[in-house]
Amino acid sequence: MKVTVNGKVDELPDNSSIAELLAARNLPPEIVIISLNDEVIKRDRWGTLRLNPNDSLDIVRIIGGG
Amino acid sequence: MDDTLLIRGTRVESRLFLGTGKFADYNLIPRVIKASGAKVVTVALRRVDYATPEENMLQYLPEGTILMPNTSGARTAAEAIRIARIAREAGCGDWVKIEVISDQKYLLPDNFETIKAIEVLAREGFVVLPYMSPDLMAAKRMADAGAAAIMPLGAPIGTNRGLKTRELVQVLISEINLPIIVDAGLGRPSEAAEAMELGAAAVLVNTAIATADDPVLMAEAFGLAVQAGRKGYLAGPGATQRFAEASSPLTGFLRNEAEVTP
Repeated sequence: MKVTVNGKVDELPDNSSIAELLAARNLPPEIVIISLNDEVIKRDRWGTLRLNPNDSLDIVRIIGGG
Repeated sequence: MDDTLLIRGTRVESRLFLGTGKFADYNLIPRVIKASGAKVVTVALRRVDYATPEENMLQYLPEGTILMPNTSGARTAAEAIRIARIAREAGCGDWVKIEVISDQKYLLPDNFETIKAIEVLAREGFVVLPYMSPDLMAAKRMADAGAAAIMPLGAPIGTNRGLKTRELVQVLISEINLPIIVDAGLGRPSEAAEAMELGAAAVLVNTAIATADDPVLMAEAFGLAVQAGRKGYLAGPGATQRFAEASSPLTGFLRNEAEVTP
């Protein structure tokens, strides 16, 4: 299925979870924040919540800034 | 006398706010925070780059630090609101520095979009500190919209040019009944002291410290300058005048009074 990740179209297996997406992209879960269709998803739902085709995800992290 | 800065009822034990961008190494950040005495620290949010996932910078911040995520990267009120909400959900707390910029040359903030973002975020319970171009009417609108402080720029971001907006910042200090925090452009400790002597409630410094040869020593220097400037403001400087007025009596030792008088 196609989803949008950080503004770019990405291809994922159907019914992927957020945790599976992060693992597939080698992103350490502890450093990221997930926003799905403009709603921040709490960490404890990352393993169970299944993504749908055309979902829009933002994977964000906190960095130094002024 | 208790001179602790209050922002929406929160006691802030340092009038130097610190930005954490541009440091060569995150390991410098805890040392810089300690040397400066800063309690309020800004951070930014960015989309992850798959190629270079980095470590979590929050782990470098000492306990008791008040986080002030900024909305850098936002070009509109809607984008700033979205970033603020994500930051709060991510556990950054209620404080947010609104920064809406679409001018890429001078990075001057969009006061109009900023006011719109403040209206929404203040209603949602955020403690909103807007970065702004020092304009009295815009600052009044921001206060009415629910801002917790007003953060006019001293000079464009990252320029280290000092308090170029001095006259306009002075107007805000005199007319706006909120803490005025000079944000951006201060390049040297003396310039931070100048802003504080003028009556600024605090200053926010990043580039000047992060790009110094010795950031830890510069952080300490800024911390001291902010304290010195604040005390100078509270002490009430004496009047200036055009002609000299002797500090020591001129009469009575080598000459008598009649000889000195012109």
